[in-house]
Amino acid sequence: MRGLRAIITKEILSFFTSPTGYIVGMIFLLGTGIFFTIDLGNPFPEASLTRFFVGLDFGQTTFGGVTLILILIAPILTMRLISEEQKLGTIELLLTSPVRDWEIIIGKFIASFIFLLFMIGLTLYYPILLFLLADPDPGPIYSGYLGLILYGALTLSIGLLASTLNSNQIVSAVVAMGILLILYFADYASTVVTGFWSTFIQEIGIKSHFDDFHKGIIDSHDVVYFISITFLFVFLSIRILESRRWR
Amino acid sequence: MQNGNNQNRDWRRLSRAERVAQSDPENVGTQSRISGLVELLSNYSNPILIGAVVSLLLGIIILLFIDTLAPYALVLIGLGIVLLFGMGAISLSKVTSAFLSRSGKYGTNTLIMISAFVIIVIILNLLSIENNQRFDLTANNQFSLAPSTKELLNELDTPVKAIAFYPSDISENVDAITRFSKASDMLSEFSKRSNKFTYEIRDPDLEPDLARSYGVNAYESIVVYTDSGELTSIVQPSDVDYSELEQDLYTSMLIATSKGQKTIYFLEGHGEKSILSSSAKGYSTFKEVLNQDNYNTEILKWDPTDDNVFVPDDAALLVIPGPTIELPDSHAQTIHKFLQGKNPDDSERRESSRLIFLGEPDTPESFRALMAMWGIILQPGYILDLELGVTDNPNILRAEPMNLNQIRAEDFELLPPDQATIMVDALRSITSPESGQLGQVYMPGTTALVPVQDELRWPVPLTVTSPLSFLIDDPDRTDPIPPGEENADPMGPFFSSAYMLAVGQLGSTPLTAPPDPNQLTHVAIFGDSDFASNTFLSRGSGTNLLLNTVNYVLGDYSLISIRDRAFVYREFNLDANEYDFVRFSSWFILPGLLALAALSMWWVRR
Repeated sequence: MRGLRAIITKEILSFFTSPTGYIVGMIFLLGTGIFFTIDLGNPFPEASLTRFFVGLDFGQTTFGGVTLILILIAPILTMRLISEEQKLGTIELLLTSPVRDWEIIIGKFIASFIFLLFMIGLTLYYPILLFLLADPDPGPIYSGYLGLILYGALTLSIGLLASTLNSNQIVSAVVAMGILLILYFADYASTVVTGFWSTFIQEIGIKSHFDDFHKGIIDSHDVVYFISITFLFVFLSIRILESRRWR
Repeated sequence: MQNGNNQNRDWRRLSRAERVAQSDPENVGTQSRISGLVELLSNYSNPILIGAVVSLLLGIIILLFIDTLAPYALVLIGLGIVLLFGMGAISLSKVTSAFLSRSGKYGTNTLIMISAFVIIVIILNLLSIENNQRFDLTANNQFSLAPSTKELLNELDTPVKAIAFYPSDISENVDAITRFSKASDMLSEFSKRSNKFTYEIRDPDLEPDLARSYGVNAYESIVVYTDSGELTSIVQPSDVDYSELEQDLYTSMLIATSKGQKTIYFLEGHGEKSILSSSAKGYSTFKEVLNQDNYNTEILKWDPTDDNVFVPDDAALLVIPGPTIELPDSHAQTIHKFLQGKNPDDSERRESSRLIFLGEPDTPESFRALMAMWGIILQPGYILDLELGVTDNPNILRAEPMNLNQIRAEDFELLPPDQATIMVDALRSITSPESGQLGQVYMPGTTALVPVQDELRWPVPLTVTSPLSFLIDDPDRTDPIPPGEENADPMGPFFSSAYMLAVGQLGSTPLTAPPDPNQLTHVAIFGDSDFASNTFLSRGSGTNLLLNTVNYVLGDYSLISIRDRAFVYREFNLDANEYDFVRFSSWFILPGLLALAALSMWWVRR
């Protein structure tokens, strides 16, 4: 566990002591701020975080919000985690050091998750504004943030997997974004087909699993989905890193 | 390498077949042709393998999504499998060595572990779909379904499908978006509660034929049906807030699954109010809400000159709404028989005896006598409530539904055990259901009721006036005569509506054994008939009191808990300064702070 702690500390320091992390955070907060205030100009805006969470309403669907921003931001946060080590050759040092493969992956995952929590924590400014200036329903805010944390963890795990697959950071980010966009738009695709396939595609998609959270519902199935898929991608990352030893 | 090895092999180690083949010049030619083909295939192994995988995947995708192309899909799948196995057989040594090599062993091991993990994840998710728990954190439990809806969904034995016909081009219409969201949320809740309930959302503009085939001729309609049944129910949410959507869907499921529809008969012929009348005093709204609750409503018209009247056999409930002329004897006898569970010829009725009577201070004497025989006395005069009367119009009483909490424990202890049980059950169902305690009911010009309690009847008062109420016998007088003065008016509190469970009329022989459920007579009586009219029904808790009473009298307890759902809109109302502050601080303060942090980090690391 000492190895795990060392990895987490090193990665957290690298997140908080490099301008890149802050620039990513700045873009994240600018995007979420725009979505939070996007409805304010309309007559009778609602005192809720719906726009912040899921973006604009387009009749029968929504698009945007922090769920879309995370798809673009999470791969940027994770793209360097393993890719950089592979490119610089320091991965060999890591693999030969007294640190287990799972400690490397989980350590890097936890560090990026902590940085994501820091960014999400800054967005608490919006609900504070709501509580100060209006009377919002607190339930959907609590459940929305819980969902956001789970959703964020999933996006990071996919980013981490992409980073493990490739030594080129840009390629890693693009691959992760591609996977995440497919999972994001699966919800829209589910409306094209009907019956079993509609349900199946909806089950795979991440957006449909987040939708209940922002409405104020915590469904144990959605929680299980996010946690299990996050673990799956972290597990795949560990296996792929481990494969370097015998490939 | 392989060929070289073969050439160096000792001839004695050749198999018999090989030796025969080598000695035959024709075989040598064939063998060389086969070897050439194999070599050719080996040279193009990569493109062939890619082609095989593509063919296999394409075949599977077509097979899954396009039923009509299934034969071609099977050909593609077959081709893919043949190519894969063919290439595997040609490169058998490579495949074998790949599996037996160090990396092959590790790879297989990893593949097995990943497969196992994926299977575990799939099983976990499947289990969580089947056994999910939903926690509604919204302030007014906006997404929580009523227990009876959950029960109905859990008990579905046949798949129920819903198609919501909503236009997709509603992005400019905020109200339409809100209504769509509520419908979509509600249908989603239904489908998440039962895997036998599925729904789709279709655009009637894009698929007009589909909409027409279900008989849909308006936007925002939801069709509920089962594959096996012939009944299709079309839900058109009755109010703009969609506050009764859950009830509408519940009822439509009952209809679609052919759950029994009960018939309620409204008596006419004695000056009663009509369910077909949409005038201010008419009962058309009452009829509509009963239909929404899956009840069939019919008019039972008795000619006052006709002595051979009867209550149809399918009448689950008879309603007498505000009669104004006397009841002929023969008609009274038919109603008595009906309440005893018998037909006029004394044969047993299929449906048991249930009656709702809506009276007035000037209810004809014959109707008063009818109700008195069943233990409820309608007092002469009207109630003037100085505390609960409407300020400008004290004749309009705002009656308080009886609350279980208002009844003291010691009062309960005084009641016989049966009476206490019936009272708790009735009040819990009618005035204090799970969906919330009912509010005041507007009753214009109501009279007081005195229920008789004996060993054959168990009355439950439903609404009550304040202690500062008077029963005034002169309809033209609006000033009460207080106690102590001559001809003082009786003071309240009075009951303005009551439910009565009875076994036989007054004076019937006492029971020696617990009554059979079919022997029981259910009567609900209201001292006012105007409160159920089109003008007053929807005021206060009038609709809920009346519908809950109907549901309870008919034993449809499940419907009671599903009543209108309040959607609270919480507005983010800002003045110009607050608006600017919220906007600009959200855009610039936090991102600006992080930009500063990024700049300082760059400066330090520079």
